[in-house]
Amino acid sequence: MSDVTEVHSAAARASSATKIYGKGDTLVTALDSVDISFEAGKFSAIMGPSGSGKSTLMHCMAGLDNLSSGKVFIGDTDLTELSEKELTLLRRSNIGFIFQSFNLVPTLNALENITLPIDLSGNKVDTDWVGQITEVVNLSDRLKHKPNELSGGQQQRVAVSRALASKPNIIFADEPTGNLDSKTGNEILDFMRLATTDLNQTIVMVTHDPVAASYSDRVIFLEDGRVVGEIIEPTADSVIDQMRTFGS
Amino acid sequence: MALFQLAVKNAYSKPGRFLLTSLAVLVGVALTTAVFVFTDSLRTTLGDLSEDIESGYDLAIRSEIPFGNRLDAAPISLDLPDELMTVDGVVGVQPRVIEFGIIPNKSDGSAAVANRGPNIGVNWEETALNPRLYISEGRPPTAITEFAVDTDTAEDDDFVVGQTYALQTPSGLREVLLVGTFNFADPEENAVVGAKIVAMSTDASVEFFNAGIGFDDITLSVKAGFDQNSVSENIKRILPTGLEVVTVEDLVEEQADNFNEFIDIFRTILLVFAFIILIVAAFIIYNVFSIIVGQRVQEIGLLRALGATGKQITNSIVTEALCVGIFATAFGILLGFPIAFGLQELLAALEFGPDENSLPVNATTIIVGSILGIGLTFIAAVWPAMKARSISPMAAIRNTSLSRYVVPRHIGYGSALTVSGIATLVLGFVVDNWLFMLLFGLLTGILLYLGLSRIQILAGKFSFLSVGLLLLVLALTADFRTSMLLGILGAAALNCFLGINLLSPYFAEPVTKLLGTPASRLGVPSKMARSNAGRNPERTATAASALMIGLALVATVSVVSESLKATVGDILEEDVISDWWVQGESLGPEPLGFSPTITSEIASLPEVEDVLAMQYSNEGLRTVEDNQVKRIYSADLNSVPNYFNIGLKKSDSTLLEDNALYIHEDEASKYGLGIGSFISVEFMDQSQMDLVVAGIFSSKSVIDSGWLLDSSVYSSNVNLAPQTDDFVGVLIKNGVSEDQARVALESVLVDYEQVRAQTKDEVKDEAENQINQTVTIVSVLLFISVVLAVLGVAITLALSVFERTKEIGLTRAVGATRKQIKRMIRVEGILVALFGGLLGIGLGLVFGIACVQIIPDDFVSKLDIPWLLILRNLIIAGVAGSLAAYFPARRAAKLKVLDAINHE
Repeated sequence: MSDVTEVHSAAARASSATKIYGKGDTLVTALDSVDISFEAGKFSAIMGPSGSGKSTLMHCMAGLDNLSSGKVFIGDTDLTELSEKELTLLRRSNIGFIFQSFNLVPTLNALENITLPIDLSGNKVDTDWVGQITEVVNLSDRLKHKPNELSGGQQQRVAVSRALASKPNIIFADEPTGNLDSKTGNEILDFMRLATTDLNQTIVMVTHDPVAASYSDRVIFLEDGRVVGEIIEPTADSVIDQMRTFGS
Repeated sequence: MALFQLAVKNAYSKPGRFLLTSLAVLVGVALTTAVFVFTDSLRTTLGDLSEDIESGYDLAIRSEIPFGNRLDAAPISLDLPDELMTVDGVVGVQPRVIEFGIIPNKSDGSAAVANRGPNIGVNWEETALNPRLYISEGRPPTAITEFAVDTDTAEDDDFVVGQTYALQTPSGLREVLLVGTFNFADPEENAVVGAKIVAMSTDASVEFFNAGIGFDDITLSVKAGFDQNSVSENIKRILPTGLEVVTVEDLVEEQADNFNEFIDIFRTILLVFAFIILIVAAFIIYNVFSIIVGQRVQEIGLLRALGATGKQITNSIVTEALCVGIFATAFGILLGFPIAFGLQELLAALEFGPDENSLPVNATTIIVGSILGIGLTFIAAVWPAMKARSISPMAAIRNTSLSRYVVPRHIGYGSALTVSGIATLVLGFVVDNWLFMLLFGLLTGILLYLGLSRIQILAGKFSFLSVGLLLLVLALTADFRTSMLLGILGAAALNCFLGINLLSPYFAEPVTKLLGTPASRLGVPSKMARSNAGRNPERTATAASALMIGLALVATVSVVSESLKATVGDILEEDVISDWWVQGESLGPEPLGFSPTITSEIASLPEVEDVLAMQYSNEGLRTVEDNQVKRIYSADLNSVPNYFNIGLKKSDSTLLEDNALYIHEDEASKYGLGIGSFISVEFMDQSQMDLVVAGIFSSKSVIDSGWLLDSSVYSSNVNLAPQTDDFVGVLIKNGVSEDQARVALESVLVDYEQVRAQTKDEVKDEAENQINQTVTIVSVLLFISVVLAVLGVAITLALSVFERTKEIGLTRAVGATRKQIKRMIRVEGILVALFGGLLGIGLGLVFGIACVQIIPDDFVSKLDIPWLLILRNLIIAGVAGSLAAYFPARRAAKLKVLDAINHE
């Protein structure tokens, strides 16, 4: 934990990241001076019990939410220095998202959903790349379907493809398997794993599922807004063991 | 652009909602288009007609009039045609006579009154090179006892050539022989446009229509090889003063201008209603898009998270609204044409106006329709679109509700806007035109709102209402002319509408809660409805606002019309003494004058004690001092007090000589007049006279202009030939019953069907009927906006039901029956409508009362509020709300419990 600053190839990092909600009696410290760094080309997982601050950490690192104090960096860019507009443009080109509840636009078909971030930026869609992704996630024959015509697993594969389509520096995934049965969930995780090893993508995933976490290269544990542990090359068992130590 | 496609897809993804939202704009645009097409068509028809009427000659000689109605001008000397013929280059000199109110009686004795236009008498043009009358059957009238009628009149009223008929002329009833029928202005087709025309020989026309004094004008042609201008100059040399030479082109243009003036007034009135509908449409669009943005918070948040900029979001919402606007405008313009056609058919069926019509497509029609339709949709959607921009990307993850869009604070920018708002208001007063006042007053409200919101949010919220109330107070207290005051009042009303709309979210909750209190006793569904109505006060307020506008206007109209009726009743009750009045059928606002021979026949009846003949002229004279044209009344001043009460304060009967005047005290003080002082006036024939003030009176209820001349002045100067009477008051001898009097009067009037004898009560009833008719037409037009507003309530409710699908499912799951769900939605609809109704009626009352205060006492002096009518309107609003809830309630009741619960 103490050697985070020594990692030089960080895709994203936070230093003294603090997030406080409310005030007075209702004051909640969601993040308490967190220092953390995510290595490029790796699949990292953030774990912790409900209210540990894992989602907040991810939102702040992705530029969706603002810190109360501290700094977050995507690559070398300090997000806390950026204007709303600059943040938007940064999200558009450098960050991909995968949400728990798929979050597809219902009026657009699968392919339109996948290319949406690129279309928003007005750039030309790299059709070869999109074709390659959709091939891998086995969606090629589903591209003209609307989200409500797709199964949950298919919808999440569209969401993963969307995150990859713009070749972002980093992808943040918020409980990506939370709404899926274990079989389809594992397929998605396999694919995310593949994306890091074969496509050299950086992925940070928030999860509370030890099995999901076991697909990652490194698990970071949060409790009460602080980093309380870390496992490199985790297995489901080692993650469960670590989780048992919480709250004691 | 990705978001452009998304916006278009969103617009068309719910066809039902799309159509309903479009409908209001569509109706407004359709009506606007119809008004333009209809009036353009009228313009073309009447323009062609003026060319037909004024044709066949080159130059015309007529009286020069500085002001007033040409029909009242002095006739031209009988000797002038002979003199004109001596002028070099002149040929085909044709004296002309035209007189309104010349009516032939049919063989059954009833009058052939024209309903779609005037009854006109003209002379047969014996000497013109190209006469305008083309004989169809028989021959032209030559002897003084002969006449001809136009072919349409002959056909419609069964006039048969060779028979004798009675003809009503200003010099009394004449027995004349029908010798022919003719087509007017066009040899093939009788171009009378609803008028009924009779023709007599020129000698007979001068004798009967113009009391033998002279001609109305003289037309002539220019001989080949002569220059029109030099001939005109030659004529001028021999022309007596007071006469002028004009070209046929000038006359055609003048006629067309007269028609256009009438058409423009008509068009403005109709456009006002179309505009009201479009305002209601804007409210509906605003509400629908606010709700849509609210429902799509998560989706918009997602787009933001994926990198859409605020601007992209705003543009996409505006694009979606423009899809609605463009669709509605396109179909509205298309629909305008059949509506215009329907209007023409309707008027033709009512036997009014021309029966030949076209459907002209003018660029103005399409441009104005598009600007209004698309422009208003755009304006209405901008605000929700700005709100959408402030949705945070976090909304994609957390299920947050829509945060309020807060105008960024900017003191400098805000102050600049505020100052320009105040400047605009000042400019409105400087320009001193009611329409500019109205628009600038509205602009002031908008600028102050934009300005003050940037300085202090709350000040911004109150800006519209403050400006509205300020203008209201100003309209009630300041001393401007009436049209300007009404302009200020209109601006006040618009600002108040917007102000209440902006503030009503604050009291929507408590008011609907209060309104719902009685209903909440009825059970849980009603109780839930009550809290649902108050749950999203902004939405309830906007839905209610659309309804508010229509109902406010209905309330205003009913207060003004009721007060008008009360005023008329009061005048007849208190100020009119004689029980019987004789007057001509009114064609339009002014009753037609009739021959004084009728008056003398009445006077000689044994049942009649005495009569008072009154004449009036809308532009009878002007003052020499300040060139003010005055409406004048005239009667035998000595007998006036026996017939009606003008509140004579001072008078001197020794002054009642030939040029005597009774004047109202306001006018007297304006011109500094006392009993016995003189005032110089000029008549239409440019003769001047010093009138002597013989009396000063205080009531304008009968003599609204304040100028009452002795009949001797009038007959010698204003209405030279022929003199007709406009009203005749009749005093009945003591002991003669009302029925006896009626029988006696009708024995005289039997030959003059268009002239009627009425008791005071009958006059009052007729006046009330006329007011009621006008109110009905206005209400029907306003009703369209109310119906559309109700539709807006229905859309709002439907969207709310959709939004609350999950909640409704849960309510059903815990045991609510379908019936209870239905009732819940229905009660909510009623509450929203009642809220709008209350706001509207409140505002309508305020502005109705203000109108009555502002309109001069000559028209409305007594305030009367029709409470029952207002209560009825409120109940109608409630019923309308319940109807609006019909489909949303059905939809809510039909939801399947499990599906609803799982609804995202």
